[in-house]
Amino acid sequence: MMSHDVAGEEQKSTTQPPHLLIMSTANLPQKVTIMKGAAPDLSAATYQIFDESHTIGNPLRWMLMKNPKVEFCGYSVPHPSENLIQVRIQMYDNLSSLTALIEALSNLDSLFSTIETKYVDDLNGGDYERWEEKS
Amino acid sequence: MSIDPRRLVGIKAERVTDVSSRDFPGYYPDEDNSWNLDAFKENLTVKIYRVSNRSIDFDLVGVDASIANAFRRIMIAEVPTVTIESVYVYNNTSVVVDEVLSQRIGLIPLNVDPAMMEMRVGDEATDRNTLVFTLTLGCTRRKDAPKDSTDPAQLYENHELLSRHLLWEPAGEQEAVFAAKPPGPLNPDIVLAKLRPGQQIEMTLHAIKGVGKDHAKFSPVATASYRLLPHINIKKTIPPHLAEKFQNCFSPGVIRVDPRTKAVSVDEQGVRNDTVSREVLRHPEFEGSVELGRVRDHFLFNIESESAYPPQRLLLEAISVMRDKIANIKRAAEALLDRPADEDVTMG
Repeated sequence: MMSHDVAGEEQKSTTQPPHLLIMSTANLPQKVTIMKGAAPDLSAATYQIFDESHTIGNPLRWMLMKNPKVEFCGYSVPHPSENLIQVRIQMYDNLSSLTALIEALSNLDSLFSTIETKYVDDLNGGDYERWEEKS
Repeated sequence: MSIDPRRLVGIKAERVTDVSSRDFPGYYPDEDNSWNLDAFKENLTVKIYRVSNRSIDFDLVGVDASIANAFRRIMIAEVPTVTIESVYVYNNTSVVVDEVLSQRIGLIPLNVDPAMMEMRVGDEATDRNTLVFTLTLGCTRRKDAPKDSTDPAQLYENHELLSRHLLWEPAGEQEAVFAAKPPGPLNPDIVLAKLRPGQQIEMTLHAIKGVGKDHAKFSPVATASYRLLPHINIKKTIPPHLAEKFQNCFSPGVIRVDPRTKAVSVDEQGVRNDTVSREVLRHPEFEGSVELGRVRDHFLFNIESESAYPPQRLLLEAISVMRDKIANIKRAAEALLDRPADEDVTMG
């Protein structure tokens, strides 16, 4: 995507969207971190996701709650001036919350690809009204 | 049309009930409700209703509100567009001050497909991330103007600075890349400033790719919104002499009245346009005869494009932004698998 950028060379992070690199050349926080106080086996942990908002927080929370192995899941945007969200996951049977998080992300991806396929199918079907709108 | 009552949000006279979704494992005994892609596929409906050159109406049925809301949020704030970001003013003797004029110029929607440009990283402008325009105009008096005229168009030459006056200056490979559609404003008739004889404007403009969360001028949509499908359940027969009054409690086209028998019924297409005003619940004669609601997982989207994207492409762009986001987080989460015992973690 940004393979031949010259300016981005010394900024090591490839996980950050480019527009953020304009604002700060300092070391950016990691995309995902596990917050202090997590259980050693990660059966209960809070994940801090940098540069994300309700846009991903709410669907991710919903998908995690769809997992029967998840005892509790909630997310918050702790402060509007901090560009991050926190996702709390607690598991049954001392299972790993990190595994559940990764699984939920995969499931979300297949959910969105399903919507994409159906939308494209309907668009190609062409069974809709077309009209002209003046600007 | 009978609908599973679990899918309904209740609209009562003074409150709204059953707002939250409950499709989680453990909520209903003896029901699974865990994530199942095949069941989701089966249940999902995407139906496009109307498409114009500027807007699209479609239904998204069978998803949670968080998903529908993510689409709305991404279309407003995270689908990139190309817009003028820097304005270099060499001369501006118009009555519109530099910063106000620059602000107005930034808001002009451009016809550049954002896929053809890269996001600018740092300060370095290249032919792949920056488009250059010049804007030069001077107003003069027309010698041949009619004596008594008060119309500026007759009196002066160039009395309005319009978006059509933007002149693209191709650089590097741009001439070839944008040959099919030279960059310019989507609407040539936007008035940027009014001029009088002697006033001049001379500027250079740089357009870059950006997202709406940085500045609203980058937002590709005028509106991107959804509402829930209204649902009206007539529980008792409405007496013929009240049929018309009942019909008038709803938006036009929502309630049908049989011209002969005066029997009322809900029009399945018309009900989409109901405002759910709850007027019917104010009249004691209709008490208990109707139940209002909205279908919790049936979203009626309306999107108006105000950018180079055709309206039908916006949802696809939003999905692609979302999937990039997910892949990004997933990569970072998988990196944590290798070292789950963070040094911060100290628990006995």
